[in-house]
Amino acid sequence: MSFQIILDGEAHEIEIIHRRPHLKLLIDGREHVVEDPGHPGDGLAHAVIAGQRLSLARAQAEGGQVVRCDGRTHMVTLLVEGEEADEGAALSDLRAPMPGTVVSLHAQPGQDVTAGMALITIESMKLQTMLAAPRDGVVAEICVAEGDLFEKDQLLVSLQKEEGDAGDA
Amino acid sequence: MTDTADFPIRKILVANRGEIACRVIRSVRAMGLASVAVCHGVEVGARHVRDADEVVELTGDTPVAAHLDAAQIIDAARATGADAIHPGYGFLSENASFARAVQEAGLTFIGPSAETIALMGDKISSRNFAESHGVPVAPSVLPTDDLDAFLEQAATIGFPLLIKASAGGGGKGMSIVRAPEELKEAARIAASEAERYFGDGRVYAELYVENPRHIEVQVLGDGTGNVIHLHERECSVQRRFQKIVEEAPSADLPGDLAQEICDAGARLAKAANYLNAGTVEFIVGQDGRFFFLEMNTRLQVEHPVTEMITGLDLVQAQIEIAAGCGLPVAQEDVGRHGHSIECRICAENAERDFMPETGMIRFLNIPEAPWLRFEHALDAGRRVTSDFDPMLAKLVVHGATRTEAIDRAVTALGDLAILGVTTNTDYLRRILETPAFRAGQLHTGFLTEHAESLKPRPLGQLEKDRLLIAAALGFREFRQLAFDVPDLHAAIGPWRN
Amino acid sequence: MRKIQSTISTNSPEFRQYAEHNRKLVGEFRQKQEAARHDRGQRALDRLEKQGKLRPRDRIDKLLDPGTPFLELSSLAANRAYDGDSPSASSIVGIGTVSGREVLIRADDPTVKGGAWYPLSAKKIVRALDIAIENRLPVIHLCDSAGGFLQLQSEVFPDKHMAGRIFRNQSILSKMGVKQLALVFGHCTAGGAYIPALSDYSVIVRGTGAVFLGGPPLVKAATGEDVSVEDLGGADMHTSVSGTCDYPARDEVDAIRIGREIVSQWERPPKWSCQQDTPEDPAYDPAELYGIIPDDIKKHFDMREVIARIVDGSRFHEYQPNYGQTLICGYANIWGYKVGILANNGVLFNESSLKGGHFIELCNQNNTPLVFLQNITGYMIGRDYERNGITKDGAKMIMAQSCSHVPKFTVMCNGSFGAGNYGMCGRAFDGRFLFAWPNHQIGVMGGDQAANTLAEVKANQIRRNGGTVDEAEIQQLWQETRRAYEDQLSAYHSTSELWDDGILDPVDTRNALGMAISASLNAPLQDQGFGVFRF
Repeated sequence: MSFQIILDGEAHEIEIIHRRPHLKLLIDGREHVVEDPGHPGDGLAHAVIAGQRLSLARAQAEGGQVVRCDGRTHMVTLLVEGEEADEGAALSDLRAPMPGTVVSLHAQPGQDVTAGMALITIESMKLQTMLAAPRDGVVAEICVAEGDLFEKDQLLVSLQKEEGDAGDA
Repeated sequence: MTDTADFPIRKILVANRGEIACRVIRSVRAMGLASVAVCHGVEVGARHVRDADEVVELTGDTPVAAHLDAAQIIDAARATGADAIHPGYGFLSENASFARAVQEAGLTFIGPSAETIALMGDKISSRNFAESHGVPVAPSVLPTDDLDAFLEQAATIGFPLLIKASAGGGGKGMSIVRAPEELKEAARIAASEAERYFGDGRVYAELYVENPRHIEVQVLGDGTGNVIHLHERECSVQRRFQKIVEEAPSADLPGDLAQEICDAGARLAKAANYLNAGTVEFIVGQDGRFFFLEMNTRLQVEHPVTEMITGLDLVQAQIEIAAGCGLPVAQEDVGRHGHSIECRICAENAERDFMPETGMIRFLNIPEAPWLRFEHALDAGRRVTSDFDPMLAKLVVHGATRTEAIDRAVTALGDLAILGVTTNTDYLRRILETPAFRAGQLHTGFLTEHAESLKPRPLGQLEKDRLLIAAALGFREFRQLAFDVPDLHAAIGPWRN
Repeated sequence: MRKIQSTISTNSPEFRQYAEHNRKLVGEFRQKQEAARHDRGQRALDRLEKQGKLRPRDRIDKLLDPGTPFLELSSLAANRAYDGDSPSASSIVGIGTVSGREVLIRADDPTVKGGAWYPLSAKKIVRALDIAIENRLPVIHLCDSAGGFLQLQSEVFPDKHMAGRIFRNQSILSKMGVKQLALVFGHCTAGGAYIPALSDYSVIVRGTGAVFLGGPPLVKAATGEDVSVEDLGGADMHTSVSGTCDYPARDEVDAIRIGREIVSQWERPPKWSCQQDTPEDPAYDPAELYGIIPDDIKKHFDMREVIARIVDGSRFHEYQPNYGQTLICGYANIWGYKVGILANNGVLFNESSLKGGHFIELCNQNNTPLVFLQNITGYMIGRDYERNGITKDGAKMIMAQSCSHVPKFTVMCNGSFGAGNYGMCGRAFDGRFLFAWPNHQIGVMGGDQAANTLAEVKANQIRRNGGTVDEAEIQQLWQETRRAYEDQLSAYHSTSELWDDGILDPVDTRNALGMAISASLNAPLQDQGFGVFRF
């Protein structure tokens, strides 16, 4: 279990190696002691790190944290080991999650779509649901027409296979 | 506080927004008068709106368009019973027809007359006016419809030449021509830009002074020929032709030259029977020659540095003059104490050619000190958008000496935190820390000349490690991992049997 | 509490001689442990790497909170079985913290025979889950096992404490509200499939993780059906179709991250609060233990010197210091936790037994956990002692100890012989944890006595059959018998058979006890009460 910390676009490894009497860390293999971690959370904080008192201001922002220290502002992101967008399960086929009727179609074959874009609206159990593209891609085929009835797991829309898909069985 | 009983102005509509609206409202309130703010829908709940006694929401295709809609603003003043309008700077502040419309609506325009605005708003007429009253102007060529004739005359001044939009300001439609063969193309581009920005394609040319200093004179006039000047300001530190660091008095200008410039400024204002506050701008060559640049017929962004050294409240003075109370002090009583510096805090990326930045302000820390003024309209939780000018705030300091003022500004900029949107705060600090700045070796090309030393210094290894740790400790996941371990296991540490 | 005044001279020849001896023993132990942990065939390691898998100990290191301890249990299980083919019984068990929660981790070892379970693997896993039940420790299973080792199935499968007990224990844990998480890194085949299925939460790695009752070859043989691993029991199938597993993971590191996040959702049930003080290092260096334990099991040493190198500040409140002096009783703190210590300082007499029984009752009255430091040759025998009721006095101590409602911990420091093992909380007495030092020996009697007895029996047999035995023959018989017997007395034999929870380097005793006590506090105290004492 370790973290990667990205400071102004540059990645560094940060590891916890000890906690008593003070927190001891490794930054890219260099050992440092945190005599006083200061207050957590947004706002002003004072910390004593590697023998020096630091005054800093921090705020959580989109994609990380902004830290201002010693009159300089930095953007920082923390990555937990193993954390990455999980794209493994993105499929090419959009299948019916339950039996129902096609209410409307929002895409045509050959159209470029992005993940999350509405492809088809269905009605089932008196409830209308929008089904979205599972990934970025090009619509290969729309297998149903407005008003069609379909069964659970029936193929509704398929996207063109990507190069990587060919080898998959 | 003004004796409100017989004061002709009771309620002032502030036709502006942001820090300047807050600044004006502060003086209005201090005088015991009522204030009306205007805002576009995107500004509902903004600080200037909260500070005012009343608010009128303006509509417009864009927020800027709303603030430029003279008719709506005058209607708002009427509707709220305001008897005067303060235009601030920018927007309608130098719009002669607005000033006229305000007067025609029976309201007081807190500023000069429409005629003066028109006179000074035109580069050519203002230049001719200055020249005719003994104020030095740079050799120049007036625009004509005959481009070839214009080019021929321009070439006689010599190079380098500056081509400017006749109607413009703020650096738009401006270019430097260093060789005769570049002149034609430069004039064409300047004309088309001028047409695009100002709807007036006339351009004119004048001698370009290399590495000049920008010195300006704050004046107050009562409209009957009585004029005082409030000393000079130096605004030489500019990026993209816009000021970002200003000071008063000027840095290290020979005393008699400063006096000469102030006198020239006052002379021009007097000649124009100038009413209210205005600024006469000059450029000063390395040889000490100075030339009239333009006159700004409004309150300037950088007016606080003048207030800091004179102890005067310029907004109050503006209102009192508009109310017919005359000038606040006699020339000989205008004080001049210590040194003041203003830094313009802008939402922009100094490392990416000053590209404007947007973002949500997540945290705001405003330093406080008796020698510090922080003029702003910021709120944590509000978004900085591209709807308006990227200038967010002004940090103004005072010191007994220029050195003390610089030191204080450096400290205050270090303590200032506007987190969530990229600002030029650190860049400003680096400017102030540059030895050449400290030595007062200023000119309008200062930032270009020192571009290399103004880049951020790379962090030292230990410094960076400390920062990384401090940053890591701000993340909940990291903190949990560091501190959310049972005492015993934390105490034993990474032991294995 | 007063600090124990050590009378040991670390410069004495005796100290140096003992230290040399014990350091050699510990060196051997470390070597065996190192081999059990890391000596693997290159092929197995290459295969693991090719599959994108981490080694099982690396998985554990990534799972644990960084900078925290891991108390591994029974690292040398099966070290004397199966010709050494099942190091650590092919399963890693230990206690540590994950997302700040104290947990028991149990990991299959795919680097040995595909992680197949040997009989002792099953025993080790059952014991691990017993520990979880007794101490209410959440369990994280790191699954990667081919299933039971078919050649030895009769010793893995049918009996009460064999493989089935694993799943019984899993069910009981869940019923008790003690959480279990399975991280499926490799195959969980046959019985092993129930580990994730019976866990409250499970994560499965896409591509390498699979769960099925019968793998593709078995399915093919049984029904003729051709089916791929992924289709039969892969991550996407189980997390989107069957619901057997909960979370798909991109890779092992991702699975560990998800697992840590799951654990961070778990409540932290309150521990029962035994008396605690601020921890303090022992005043005497624990490494001096090497020079205190003699080089010969028959030599006596003062157990106070051992206590002084385990407890906080070397402080000890001795109970009845002048009575029954062959059993030292008293209070001390270990990593801040108040404990009652019983330590043998010679053979158990009537008085020492009575004192021990009484002290155990006091600790029960005071809710103080008990720590037994065993170095016992047994209860005293002989006419006078029997007349004085040594057996019924020993029975009182066994009764008090057996019925204790406070957690008990045992360290086998040197020797454990005869009924002394019972009174001092041997394996049969449900202590929460039992550790042994490498020098330790355990048996009904010592090697010499056993050899005497057995050689005598054999000689008598020969004589009864009309033969004659000369002195040389008797001597040879004695030597052979002693060697064979002592081999069985060895701590390595005990630990191989899982008669303990692992061998400890003596200097690790303090940390191991600290973690064991901390773990034990998760389970609420049992009801108080004793049986009938024979007075």
